[in-house]
Amino acid sequence: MAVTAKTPIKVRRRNKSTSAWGMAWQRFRRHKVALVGGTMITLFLLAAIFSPFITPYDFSSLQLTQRFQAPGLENISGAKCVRDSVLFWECGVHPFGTDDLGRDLLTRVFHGGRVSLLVGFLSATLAILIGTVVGATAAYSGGVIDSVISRIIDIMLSLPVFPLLLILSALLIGRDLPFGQWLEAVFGSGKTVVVIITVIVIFNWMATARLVRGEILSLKQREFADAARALGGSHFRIIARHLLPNAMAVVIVQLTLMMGEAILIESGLSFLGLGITPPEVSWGNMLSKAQGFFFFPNGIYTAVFPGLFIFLSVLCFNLLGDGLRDALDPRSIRK
Amino acid sequence: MRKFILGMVAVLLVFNAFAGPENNSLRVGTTQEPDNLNPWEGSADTKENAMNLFFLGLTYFDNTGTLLPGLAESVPTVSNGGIVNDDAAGTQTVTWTLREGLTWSDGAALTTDDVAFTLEVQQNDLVPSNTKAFTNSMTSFEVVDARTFVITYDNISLTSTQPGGNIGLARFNDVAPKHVWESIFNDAVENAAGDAEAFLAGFIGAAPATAAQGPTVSSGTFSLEEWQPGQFMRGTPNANFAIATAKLDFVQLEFFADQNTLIANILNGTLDASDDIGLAGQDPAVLGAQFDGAVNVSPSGFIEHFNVNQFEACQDAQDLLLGDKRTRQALIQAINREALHPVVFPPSLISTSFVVNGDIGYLAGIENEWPYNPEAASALLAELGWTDSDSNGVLDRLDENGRFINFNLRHIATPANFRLQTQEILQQDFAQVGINLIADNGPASVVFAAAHLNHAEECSWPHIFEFAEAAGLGISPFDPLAQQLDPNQVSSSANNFSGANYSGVVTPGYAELIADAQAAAFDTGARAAIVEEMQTIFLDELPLIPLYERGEIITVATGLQNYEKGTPLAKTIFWNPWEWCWDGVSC
Amino acid sequence: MFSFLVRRILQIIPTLFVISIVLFALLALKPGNPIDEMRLGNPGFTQADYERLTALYGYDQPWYFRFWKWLGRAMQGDLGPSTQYGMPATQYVFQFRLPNTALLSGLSLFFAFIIAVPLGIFSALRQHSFVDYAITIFNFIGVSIPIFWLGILLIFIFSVVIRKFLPAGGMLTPGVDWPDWALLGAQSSGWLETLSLYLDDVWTYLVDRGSHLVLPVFALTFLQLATWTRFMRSSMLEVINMDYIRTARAKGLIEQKVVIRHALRNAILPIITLVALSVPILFSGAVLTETVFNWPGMGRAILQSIVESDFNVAMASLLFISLLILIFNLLADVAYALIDPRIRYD
Repeated sequence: MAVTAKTPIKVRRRNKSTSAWGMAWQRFRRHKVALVGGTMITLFLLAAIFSPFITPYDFSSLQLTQRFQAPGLENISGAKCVRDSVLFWECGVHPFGTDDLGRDLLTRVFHGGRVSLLVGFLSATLAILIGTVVGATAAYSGGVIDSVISRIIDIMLSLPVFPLLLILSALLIGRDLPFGQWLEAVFGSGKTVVVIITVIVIFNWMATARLVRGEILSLKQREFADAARALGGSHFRIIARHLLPNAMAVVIVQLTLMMGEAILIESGLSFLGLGITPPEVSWGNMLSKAQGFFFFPNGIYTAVFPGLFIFLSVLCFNLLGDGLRDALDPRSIRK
Repeated sequence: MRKFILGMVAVLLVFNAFAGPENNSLRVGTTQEPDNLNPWEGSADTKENAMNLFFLGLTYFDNTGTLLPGLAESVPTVSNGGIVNDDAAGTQTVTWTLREGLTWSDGAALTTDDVAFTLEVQQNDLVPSNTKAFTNSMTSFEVVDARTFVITYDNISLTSTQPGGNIGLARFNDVAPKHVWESIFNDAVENAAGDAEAFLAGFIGAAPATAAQGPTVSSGTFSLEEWQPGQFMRGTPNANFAIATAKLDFVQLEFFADQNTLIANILNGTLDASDDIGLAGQDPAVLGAQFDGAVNVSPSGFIEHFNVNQFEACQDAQDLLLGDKRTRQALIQAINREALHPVVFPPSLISTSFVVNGDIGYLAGIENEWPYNPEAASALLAELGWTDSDSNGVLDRLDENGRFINFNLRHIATPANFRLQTQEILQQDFAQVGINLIADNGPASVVFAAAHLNHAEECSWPHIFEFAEAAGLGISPFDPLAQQLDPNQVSSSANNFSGANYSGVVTPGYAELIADAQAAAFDTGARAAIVEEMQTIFLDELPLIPLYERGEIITVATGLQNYEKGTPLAKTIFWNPWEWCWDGVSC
Repeated sequence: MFSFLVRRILQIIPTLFVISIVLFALLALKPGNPIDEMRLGNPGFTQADYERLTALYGYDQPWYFRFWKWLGRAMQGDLGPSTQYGMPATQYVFQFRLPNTALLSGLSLFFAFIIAVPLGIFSALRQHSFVDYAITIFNFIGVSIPIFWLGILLIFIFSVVIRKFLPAGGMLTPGVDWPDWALLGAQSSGWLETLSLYLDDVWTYLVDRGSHLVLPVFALTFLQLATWTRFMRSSMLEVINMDYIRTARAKGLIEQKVVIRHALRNAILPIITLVALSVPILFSGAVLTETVFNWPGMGRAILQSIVESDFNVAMASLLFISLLILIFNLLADVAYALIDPRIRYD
């Protein structure tokens, strides 16, 4: 009949956390496409970082006798040695074919990926960081500082971005900016990467700043900020401990989407000859070189694969960002 | 209604309407559009092609390198008294006589009035001409009568009767129509009042030379009928042309900013021919396999080479011992030029000289010298004191002051596709002998700027600089490439960095030989002997490292006759537009 | 509202002034000038020539002097000649380049809009259906694909694989012009024949121009479409879940009326502003499309003038784009205020 207090009821804990982040994570897990996106991006990143171990074809080893091979699983003598061993490089198989100087395209694409993904990651992070700081400062300080910053944002947003990207790239081409040497030592390519990161960051922090400013302005009005102030927290504490974490959702989504943007901008600039310049390799400038090879047999593959990977990475970032947006923002529409 | 549909179907099916033999026309494709048809303004030499369709100079070169009279009645030479050289005073007097009865396409007479006017404009400081050197060397210009004029120069030059602005009258085709340009020029000068930009607007931007303003009066095979900027130029035969009436009914020069579109249109038959600059970077064999017509290769007269910084004042260069000829010999033997040139620049010939194969004084067989020999290269480098003491694969040495120097060779070039490929191949070649090639590229506007090119003494370019320079102009050893080897023209602080010898190379014996050549300038046989001797010294000293001679690819549809370019002297595939014709239709 | 408008319009002038200083400074600080271009490939160009010409055109002066000179002229309406083409920079940009970009961008905007709106609405109304998922996938692809890759593949297909169907780049076939009535009249007998010839030629002309437009417009539209459809969809979704829509449905209104009368009017607002903001971006950002498809438009003119240091053309086109941005931003704000009565500017 009635359940007596003495009867031990086995309560099955479903391990559901109730923190905001925990719930967000659960929502995210249900968003299948975003999961796919996230997984693929992780795979790409790992492949890019560990590429020297995955594809031991020497990145720059030329085989002038093997120019413009078609992609495939047979090596030059027709043997399908992938059956014997997955280590395709051991029998001279080029899954993506070769380029105009006989280099393995798979290796080239992975190496180009290192640069492109690096640029995407660093420039997005920097742009978001700067934007967040500026936006938070403006929103929190209010008054004159806010108007000045807003005016600056407005003016910068009314500049023609793409042409300015072109001019700035043309201006900075070949110059030595700080960190260039360090990057060169660590990642193998430095000078032009720093230039293009700088250029992308200069023109992409505004959107984030505006967004963050809006979020914080609305949060400022809310109760807990008043409460924190009443408790006597310093300004910095209030921003860092209370306002920012709530605005984080927006920022994280922006970060993810911005990475995809940055990759597109970088490859666009490199394609026009103003971003990463040869001999450094990036997906964008591989596409640019490929335009001269349309009429060579199998020449088009030097264009197909880099572009395909640009597409896939940006797609993954977008899927991931979409999933994050749905997961982190409780206000977004999701039946 | 039916006509509509038929029309649409017709256009869609037969996309290459208006093509060649059907209407006796020629559609030529190129990637470079001239900025304007102004004969004095010389910003882009690629304008030479279009100008040659519509204008004729005093002389022109034919396919065998023979100089023939254009507007002139005959070519002035020393033997016919047209050229008089005063060796003592160092002056040269050239007497020109125009053909009888010359007229412009609109019927106005072409006389020495036009020539005098052309010179007047050329001499004006506001005119942005870039061949003032020849004009400035004129000491006198005299009009004798309506057909004869005499020019005196303050130096004895081999090229004073050659086309291309060498006479000093105008940059392109020597004579411009006074009756068209006089008022425009005078107005521009007056309105500008010394302001260069205002003058530019009034003079360059004026009819009859820009796309905006329409047809021009011409002296060439064709008259410009229509110019759609960015699209095409169409010319129709000039009935008053001096040499022969054009056999074609019209010619259309079509511009494609994108080479692939150009090639697509050639391969699908829309275009009948290409010019000599549009197909740079392609492989003639690959194109030939896909094209019905002929794919020809013609010599361009440019030799792709490395300048090697040999200034003693440049520490970077001295660190790598670039001043020692053994280093240069090692470098050339470390490069597999035989394998390199067919890959990076398919229409090319290997070159080991500063003279083009077939030109005056070319040393027979020189191209086979210095074959690929990495062992010999390594031996030479070892002899010079390079070892790999830290076993990192790159040679190093200690200099007199005990500084540790790695053999990091900086290679500067413009990022053209073929040069990038060269760098990548050379990186491998050099790595084999322990040299680390570092690519250091920059856009042409930076790399060819005087501040960069001429200041090697200050290490503006520290080690090697790759570009192509003109040779094979029939005036060796006075070709631009040979001038880079003239010890009297070293570009240093002494002459305000204005010499043509960018590398600072002083080759033993060259000063005397060049002086001898100057003395024997008009004696072709003597010059040839001197040039041969210079090459013998060249082989040992290697003041610069030649790579290959560049060729040009020209496509020609089946049936098109007389469309060819056999010599770099002709400078343009459009040297004989009046002879082009279709087999069976107009030939 | 009126005072807001006046204030914004007046703000345009000083903003443009600041922008022009920034642009000019950046251009001038970029290495290279037109005289350097002249010496390329011209063996006869001496150092003396170089110095003379540099001094003549004032390229050795500091950028603020040059800016002052340029400003003086610009105030009088003269933006200077193009150093590449000789003709006035304004003529080059506005007569020969702007109409081409306007055609390309205008058509893409138009097609993208008329396809995106219904697609977005449909997708929102049928959320989670197969069609919705298909459209969403299509959107993601469109937003992620690099346009120059898409362009390269299209060009490759139509210039190497299928060689005769569509032209591979360019704007028109030389020689195909809008017909001249008088010329035709002289060639034929009677006005009926002239008319039929004329109409034939007009048709050929339209087909030629159209066939050259297909690929670039397709590429541009595809990208725009993806962004706008997503936007429309989310905007529509937001509106549909609002209370007043539920009220409308509860009142018994038929679905169509609900959608069009109530939901659409509110959902379309953000799209209009998005379109307004996209116009100037399309004009300046079409560089990639124009490069790949060899379209003689303004984007490419900007790139070329930057690379070849043709200052006057660069300044003319960039200032035009900035003006467009300022005007369309203003228009977007005004449209917002007009459509949404809750928004007030004072």
